[in-house]
Amino acid sequence: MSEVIVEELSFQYNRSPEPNLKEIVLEAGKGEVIGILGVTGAGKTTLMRTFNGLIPQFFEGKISGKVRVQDLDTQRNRIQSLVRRVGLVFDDPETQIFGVTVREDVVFGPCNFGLSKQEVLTRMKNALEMVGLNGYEERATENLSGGEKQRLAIAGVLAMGSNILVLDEPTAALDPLGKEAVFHIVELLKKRGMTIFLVEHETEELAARADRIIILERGRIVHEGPTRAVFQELPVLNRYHLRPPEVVELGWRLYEERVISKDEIPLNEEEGVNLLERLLPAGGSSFPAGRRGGGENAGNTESLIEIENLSFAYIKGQPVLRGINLQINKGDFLALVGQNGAGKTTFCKILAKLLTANTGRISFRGQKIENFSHARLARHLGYVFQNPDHQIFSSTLKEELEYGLLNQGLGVAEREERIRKVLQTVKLDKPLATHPFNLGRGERQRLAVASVLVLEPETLIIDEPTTGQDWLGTRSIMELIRDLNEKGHTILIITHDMRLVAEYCRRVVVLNKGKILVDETPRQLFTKMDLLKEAQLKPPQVSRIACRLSDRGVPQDILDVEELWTAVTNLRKQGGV
Amino acid sequence: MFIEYYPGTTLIHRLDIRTKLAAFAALMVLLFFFTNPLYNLALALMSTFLFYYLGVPVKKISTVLKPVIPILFIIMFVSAFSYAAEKFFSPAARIVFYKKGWFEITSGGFLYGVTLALRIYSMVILSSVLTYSTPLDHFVQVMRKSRLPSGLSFLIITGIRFVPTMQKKVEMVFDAQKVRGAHFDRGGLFSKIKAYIPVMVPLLAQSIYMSEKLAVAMLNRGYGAVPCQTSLDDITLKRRDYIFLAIFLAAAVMGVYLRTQGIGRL
Repeated sequence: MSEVIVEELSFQYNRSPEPNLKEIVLEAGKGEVIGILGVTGAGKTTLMRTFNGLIPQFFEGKISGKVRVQDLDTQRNRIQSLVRRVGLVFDDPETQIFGVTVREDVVFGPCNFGLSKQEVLTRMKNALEMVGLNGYEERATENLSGGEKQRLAIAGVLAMGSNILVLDEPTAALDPLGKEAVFHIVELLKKRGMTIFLVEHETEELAARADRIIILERGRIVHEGPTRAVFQELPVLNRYHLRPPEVVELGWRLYEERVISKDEIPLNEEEGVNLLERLLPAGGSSFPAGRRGGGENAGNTESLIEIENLSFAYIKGQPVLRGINLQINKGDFLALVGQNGAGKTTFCKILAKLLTANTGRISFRGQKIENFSHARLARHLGYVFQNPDHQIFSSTLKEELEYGLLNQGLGVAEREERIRKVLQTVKLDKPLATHPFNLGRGERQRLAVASVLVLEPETLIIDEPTTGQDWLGTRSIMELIRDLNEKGHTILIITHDMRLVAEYCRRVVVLNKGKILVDETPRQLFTKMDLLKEAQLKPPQVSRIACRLSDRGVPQDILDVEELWTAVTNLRKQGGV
Repeated sequence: MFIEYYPGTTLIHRLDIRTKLAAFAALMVLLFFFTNPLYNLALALMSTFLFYYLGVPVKKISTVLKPVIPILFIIMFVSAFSYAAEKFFSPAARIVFYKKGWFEITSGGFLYGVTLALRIYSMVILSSVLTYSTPLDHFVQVMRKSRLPSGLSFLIITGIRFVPTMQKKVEMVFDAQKVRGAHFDRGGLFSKIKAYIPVMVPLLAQSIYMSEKLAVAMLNRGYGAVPCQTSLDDITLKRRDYIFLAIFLAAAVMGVYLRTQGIGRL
């Protein structure tokens, strides 16, 4: 029997100009894991909201068709009774937690149903065990990490006893460790026979876990099928702007060259390694990929920012940064990586004078940081924060961009000239009177970048520019940052995405427990597996595969699909295949 | 955080919250009945002992007390020349140290200042004893038992839960505007208010956005499914509660009696 049946469902939010879901037909069997893919605005969240009646009971609009969950019509049953069958987990862990302690939060659901005390406590215990948070009962929810909060949110819906779990971008706001823990839970629950809908941009993870994939575009299901079949069709992924796993890209090229058949295209690291072991003759050898140049620092040493022996602690005796020495040079494209809590954001905040170091010296072009006001510092250092909505406050584009300029006391002519220029630079082609909240998420982010860039800082710090974005948004913001770097801005980004580090950055600094572990090029870094392990970082898929194929002569310093492809072809030629 | 439970098994932890509230009220009354610092010193010592008995690390209370200490001294100092000697009854309080025109420094004023300082100290300690020994859930239950609508108590709890979250948001918004060169402490009142607009607007927008997400999350957890929710720790009055209720009631009555007899005044 099917757990979820969607029949000819169409829906349009009250304020939406066009339908958000169109003629959706869908069926989910018990124990299936269904991956949902699509760019932002494709209707993924909207579809998930219909599963427990949030649509149309809370979010109102025009609806036709039917959604049935374990034989209950979601338009005829209250949300509060549907949630006992379907549990939803959202992307933002912050707004799903109600309890001051872990215990209070998990029991919130069961208590709302007036279950017996014994039953509530048993459910709490089981739910916490399933997400690996047993023993955390009395902890304050506020002090949990992002990953732990998200696991708690999952426990909260599991405690309600639902057999269907809907995870709507559950790892969007998490660091790699947090992501891994959530995916691990998905696997456990799959084994227990739960039906799971997983909305994710992480295609690598979906390819490894989903039974079936559904791709949405503009409210329509445009493609669906078993995971393997969907991911082995690279043109489909590209058509719908989905980030293909690197190993799929490599496999597709091998298929196009008629080296392998389509069903041999590997979906994950393991399959990739097996395939290449089969294809490559033993005992080959090749030059390091880095020989061809590219991906290295240009060797420019005009120093912009110098940091000496920097230490910082929020609480005495618990240092967050310990003796940091770093020189940032003109033209650097530097990635600051490391787990959450490694001190990345703290470090950047000290550079921007939002925090003051306990010891150490920072200077910008030889001038001490103490001599700068924020307004003056803004010419040396710009800081773009993660969430553009934390800074946008004006009712027009022009006012928003003018704010920093006014703080610097610039005249009218200068201000207008700079605004004109900056809008060109960030390619935000909108009238100056546009209300910022009428812009899309990607455009608002561009506006946030512009509002900092307009102050013409030499160096730009950008904090997790791609978090929670789809592949289109990710690429477009990274291209913009690369553009800025080419125009002479020095760039420092904080990121967890090693594939972006490999593709865009020329220098990478790994922070681990408040110390700099390494400072080198991505190419050098991604060959040092034990170091990466210590910092709990996972290099890009192709780098991982290359490192496991050293006995076949594959160079260890592979950064992208192109390089692995070249190495594979050369080795095959060498071996006379 | 300002309401923090410190788990433990002491007698104070085990007492019913209603007993503790009653005792708290009785002690407050006693604090305000006597102006003689000796009586208040006794109460202050008792509060200190209760706190010590809870086993909460001293560090936790010192962060609360530290900022209060200068205020206590200012109160003692100001009080010393704020009261004329005639206002006091006991000879010890009528000593005048210095007098010039209407301005006089009296022993009574100083002693009264000490009383005020001890009162504030005891109040801080006693409320900490109450909150450290009582889980938040028990406060909710009192609200429920006193027939407050469950929605209201939920509102209060959620409010408390989101204080740190909002604090973080406030900080993020401040940071984002500071790096654009915002000045928050320049110019007159009007320009100061104006300077805060870039902080207030994003915060307001964020809270509205968050409130919708919260409403969804509440429904998603079945809020409002049945009118009567399960309460996990049912609070009940035990024998020890009645004993302590009697003791504190007696103490309060005693206080009233002593006061009418003019004992404990300056």
